[in-house]
Amino acid sequence: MRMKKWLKRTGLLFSLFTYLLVSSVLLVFYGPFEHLRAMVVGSILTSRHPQYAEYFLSEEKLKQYQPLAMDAAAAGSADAEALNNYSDIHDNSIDVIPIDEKLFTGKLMIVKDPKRLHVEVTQHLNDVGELVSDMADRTNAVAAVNAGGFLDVSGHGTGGIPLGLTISHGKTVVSPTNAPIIGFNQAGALVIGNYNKEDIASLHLTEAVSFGPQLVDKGQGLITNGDGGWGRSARSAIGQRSDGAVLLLVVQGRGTGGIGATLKDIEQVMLENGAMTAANLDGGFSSEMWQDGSLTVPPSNPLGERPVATAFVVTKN
Amino acid sequence: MKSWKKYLMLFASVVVLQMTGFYALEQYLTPSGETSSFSAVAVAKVSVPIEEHLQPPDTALLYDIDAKGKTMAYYTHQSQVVITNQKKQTLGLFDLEGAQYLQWMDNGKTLFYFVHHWGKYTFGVYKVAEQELVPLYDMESGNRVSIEQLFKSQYAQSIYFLYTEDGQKRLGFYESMFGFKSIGLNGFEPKKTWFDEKENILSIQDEVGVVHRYQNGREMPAKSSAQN
Repeated sequence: MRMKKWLKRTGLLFSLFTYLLVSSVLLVFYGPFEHLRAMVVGSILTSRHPQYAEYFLSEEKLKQYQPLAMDAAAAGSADAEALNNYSDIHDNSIDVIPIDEKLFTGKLMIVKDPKRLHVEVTQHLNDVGELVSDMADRTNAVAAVNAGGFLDVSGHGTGGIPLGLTISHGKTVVSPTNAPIIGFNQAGALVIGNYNKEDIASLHLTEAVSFGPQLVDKGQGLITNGDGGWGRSARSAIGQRSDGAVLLLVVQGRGTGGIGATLKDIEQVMLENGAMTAANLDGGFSSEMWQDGSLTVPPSNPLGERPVATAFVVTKN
Repeated sequence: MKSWKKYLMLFASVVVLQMTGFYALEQYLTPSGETSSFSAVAVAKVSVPIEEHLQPPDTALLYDIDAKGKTMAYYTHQSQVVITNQKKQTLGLFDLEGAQYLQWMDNGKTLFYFVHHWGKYTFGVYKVAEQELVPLYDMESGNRVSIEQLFKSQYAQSIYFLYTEDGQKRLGFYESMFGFKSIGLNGFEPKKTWFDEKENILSIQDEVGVVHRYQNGREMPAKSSAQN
């Protein structure tokens, strides 16, 4: 009798568990919960086994959730004359705007004079990276954010090897690859896009890193479908308004500052703040903003700052 | 009540609970449509006071100064941790009853702590910028635990610490994605330790000269000290 009761209860629990498992999978992939589906499918597509997503959704449907390629950027024009000239800007002010959204928090720094922006490279190049705060301290800067990508095998890179075109104070540190470039020319114009290697010299870039994807071009958002497919994380981005002001955005993720932002969220913040052009920078545990001696947007890793290869620093007046 | 009615009610409750959970999750993941009201904050320029060499007060029970010598954290008799810089500014002040170990993880931005409070051993960090204590892990209680040495790998974003638990030497490993792992030292007594941050390898030499190497919380094949 007792055995029969035990079997009945076990059977009931097993049935409930099976029901919950099957129905939850069905609800996630075919139910009305679009944001949940985007998060789950995005996570599968950016995992080591993206093929699992094909078990549930058609190729057509999956396209909607495909992560934006890092090298997705507008084709750049080799016509350097077409770029804006901000040589006459002498406004030395910097504004900092707190970003306080439901799922992420961070700060947007607006540097009015774009010529104050420089790329700083780790002083232990090809060996190990350097903390953003150290780069800022070393160069006597007033502010800094992490910048381009670096060799990072399985998340254990030392930050010593920048990836893609890297130019610091007019000196080319790493030659161009196929990655989109994010750089400033002598007149303070932020140049973002995919350029032919042979055209890059004609842009007269004095500062540059490589990362992506590009988020805004000519004042228009480039993510037309979904949320960019990179999931939610801490993110950094750079943009420029039509008046030349540079927008440096850093948001936290996976920590006390929320669960992080999607690429679409970042694009939205940039557009709302008047960006004519903008690109995503290295994110995750690398993302941080430093100003006047303290981390105003600390890294999301509880163990502190991570050494990186490059940083955008804002020099003193 | 008839038994089929009971099952029906149970099933209905599970469905309602499940749908509520999904709905709450979806609501949480839905970005707010409103634009936040921003208030621009101009960067203020402050005069820089004269910098001093940091020295803990005589009453400090524990203290640590960051590698650059710019920021100091010390533990007081009032069970508080005080964080100050060379300009004598107080960057942080918080209660931390039962603190047993303090160590800076970076340039005065992240402070590692280890406490024994209410019979529980906990380690975590204090984030100076956010002025927030972030407990990372509660260790097994009931045993006497003390940390002897802490090693941080900035590149791998992980920490190792040598600790004693009821007289037995153990090695703790923590990485934010995978959590905490405790590794027994199989009875050997550490004689010398060194940490290769770039390779993320902690080496511990025992009394007979054998070097035990650990990477990502796992012991690697041992090699003798002569090979190093």
